[in-house]
Amino acid sequence: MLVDVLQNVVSLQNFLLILIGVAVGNVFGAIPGLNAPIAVALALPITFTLETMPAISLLMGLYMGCVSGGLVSATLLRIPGTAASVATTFDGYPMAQQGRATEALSIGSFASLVGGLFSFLCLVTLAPVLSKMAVGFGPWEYFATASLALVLVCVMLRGRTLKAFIALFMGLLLRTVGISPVDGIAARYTFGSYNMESGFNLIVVIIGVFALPEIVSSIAKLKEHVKPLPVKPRLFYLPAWGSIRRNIGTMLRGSVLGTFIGILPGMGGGAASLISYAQAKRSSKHPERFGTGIEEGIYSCESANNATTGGALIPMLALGVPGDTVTAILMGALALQGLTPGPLLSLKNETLFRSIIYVALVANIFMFVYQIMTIRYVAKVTEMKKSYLFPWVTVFCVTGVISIKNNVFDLIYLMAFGIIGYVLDKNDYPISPFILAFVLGRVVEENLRRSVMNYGSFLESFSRFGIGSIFVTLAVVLPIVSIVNHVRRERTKDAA
Amino acid sequence: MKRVILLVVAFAVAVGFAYAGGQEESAAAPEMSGPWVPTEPIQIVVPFAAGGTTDVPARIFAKYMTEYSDVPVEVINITGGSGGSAGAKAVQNADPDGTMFVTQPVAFPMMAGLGVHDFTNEDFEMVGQWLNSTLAVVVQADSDYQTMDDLVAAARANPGEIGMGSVTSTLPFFAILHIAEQRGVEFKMVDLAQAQKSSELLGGRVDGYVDAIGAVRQFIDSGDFRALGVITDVEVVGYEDIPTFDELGFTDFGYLKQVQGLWAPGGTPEAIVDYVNNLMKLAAENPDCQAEFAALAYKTAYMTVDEYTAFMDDAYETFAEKAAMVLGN
Repeated sequence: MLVDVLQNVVSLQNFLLILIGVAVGNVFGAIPGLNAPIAVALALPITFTLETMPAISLLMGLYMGCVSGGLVSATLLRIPGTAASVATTFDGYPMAQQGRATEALSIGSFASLVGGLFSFLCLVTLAPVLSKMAVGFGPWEYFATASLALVLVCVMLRGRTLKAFIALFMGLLLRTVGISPVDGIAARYTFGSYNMESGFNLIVVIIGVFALPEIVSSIAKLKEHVKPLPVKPRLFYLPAWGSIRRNIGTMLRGSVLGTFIGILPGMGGGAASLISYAQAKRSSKHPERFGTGIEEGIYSCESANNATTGGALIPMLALGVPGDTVTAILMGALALQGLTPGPLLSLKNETLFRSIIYVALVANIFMFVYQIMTIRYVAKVTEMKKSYLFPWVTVFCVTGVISIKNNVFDLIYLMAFGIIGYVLDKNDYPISPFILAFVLGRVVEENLRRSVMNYGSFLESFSRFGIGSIFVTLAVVLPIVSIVNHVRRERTKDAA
Repeated sequence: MKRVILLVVAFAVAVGFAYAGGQEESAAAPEMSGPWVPTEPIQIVVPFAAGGTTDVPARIFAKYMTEYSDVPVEVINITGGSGGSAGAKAVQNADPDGTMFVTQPVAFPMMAGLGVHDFTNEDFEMVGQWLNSTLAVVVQADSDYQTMDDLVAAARANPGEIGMGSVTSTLPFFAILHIAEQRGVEFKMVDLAQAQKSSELLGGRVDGYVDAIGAVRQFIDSGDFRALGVITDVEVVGYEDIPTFDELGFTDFGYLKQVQGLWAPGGTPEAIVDYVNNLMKLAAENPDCQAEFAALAYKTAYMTVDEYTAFMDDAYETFAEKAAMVLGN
């Protein structure tokens, strides 16, 4: 069995294709607007001419490369290429600004590897069991999990909870633009324009609220020249052993969280990394130092977002239910090879099933090696003059947005979201709840409506005791506890 | 990195110019009479994301159509709007010069019927049909519903309680309404998420659902699901023991087939339409192509321009009626 699998996986052609996938994927992940779904979709026609294993090798390499590539632009430019790397900007960017870019990148790469390996282990050992979990999740449970995720991210922003909720609801409101989900009949806030019917694209929104304000602020600071620490030319960069040892717990928590969230379709790396970051901050002894460029911040979110890849593959391979957009396209690619992922694939064709999993492992390791060896080159970006750098970044943002749908209309609302992001940022409103609302808004709405349709009403859904109702209760109780605590703290402060 | 991208862009532009130059020369050749010959790549717009149920067949067809054509047949995805409207609009507004076509998913007549789309088959030239796939009604293998009659009887005993799943306003949704209407019963219509229909039935949150046989057959094979019927009048190859809707005594279910065809911008000359229709015919008759589709439980189903035009007129009419029924509720 294992011999067959190894024969399938280990070949020069496969390894080369994985390497190409990883390298190209890294670029796609790093450039805002280009992302994993686009990269995988573009590579689809190429896989036509390939055999099954080489085709899978290329696509897996791309997938892993893209998810990890977001680390680079998030850390060096404070521009997350995808929702999955939003949390990476919080500590990665400040760390890079302090001249520790290579350290930030090596920590990120290492945490990604740990997350990837952990989810691979789950994939190998627990795929059939974990896929049962995905089956147990109905609309009510999805609604509950997504709502709780939104609330958690707000509550954990201590001191800014109110502003976080305001940003959250703004995001949710803007997410409702377009044709109503589920029934598809009402056009909401479209002002009669068919371009508005599909709503605002998540990637465009991310570039708008993150990249554009960052570019504007950087232009304002054009004269300031931060002298970065010179990049020491080394063959590869690894985080210090002590730093790894201190953060094993953080990485494991992130990996578990990432794997579980990855299994649930529609949640994805954005939710996983933000929740993992918030959770790490919550359980830290020095939460006030989060956001100033500390290593725990990077360890927590990068392990989580890479762990979602293995998580997303679990229901796809075991049930034929894709965990995210990329795995949906991967299913299409397998279909083009005449294969249908699902319960039969693992039973009838176990060798192939295992081979796919092992390709994911190889891709993860290649990605890590590739990243730690290229750090010395990519870190040079911080040494570039901003007057050269930012025009290029702007060009990439705009072309990235155009490449999503070939639709110029997207540029118009890119500007609008740029302004929203700038105003929010200048007034000290946190951006992450706004983005998470965009990531999960549809999940919340669709599944609430489905629950009500299925069970008759909200109360009847709620009375089905289980994990869903517990999560909904928590989502209501946590903000109240947070308010009570806040009031109590203020009182003691007044009394003192 | 940036230098590489610049190089790639420069190269692409250079190739583009070289190509355009070649174009002009060949266009100068006197070839005005006789059948139309394409000089530029034929682009097929898929109005949905790559890797989906509309995209995969289009890519397979494009591959085989290229074999029979002097120019490459390419697939591009223009997504957005609702029910693929952005992609359709892009082709509707394109020059009718045989370079841009759009695949027709069954969503087009349905969305027009529901009043969501503001374009119909009248705004395009019909080129041809290449494919259809059959819907199946499935329940859990260990459920009490052995036959369609069991399911209908349960719905009759508990009106509005038996949950049947579909993605709202898609063909399976209309299929469930069709069953309910012809048997005089009422189901609870449960909305399913596009990508995770099977897990709702595996998790026991619906009593059954309707989906393409290609999507559910692996669950039938694995012994998780039981198919109570296939919505067609001929038996599905490999699944002859599943009763067809004809055998079950249903009527007028012809519109409940997932057909896919090709449309050209309105005003496209007949010669161009005939040329592309012929490519579709050659591809659909290619045994390799048929084998690739069979592996996915699809069936190539070629139609001439006239047959397809009539078929589409009929589809728009039927869906207008059926949608009125839905919207009237």
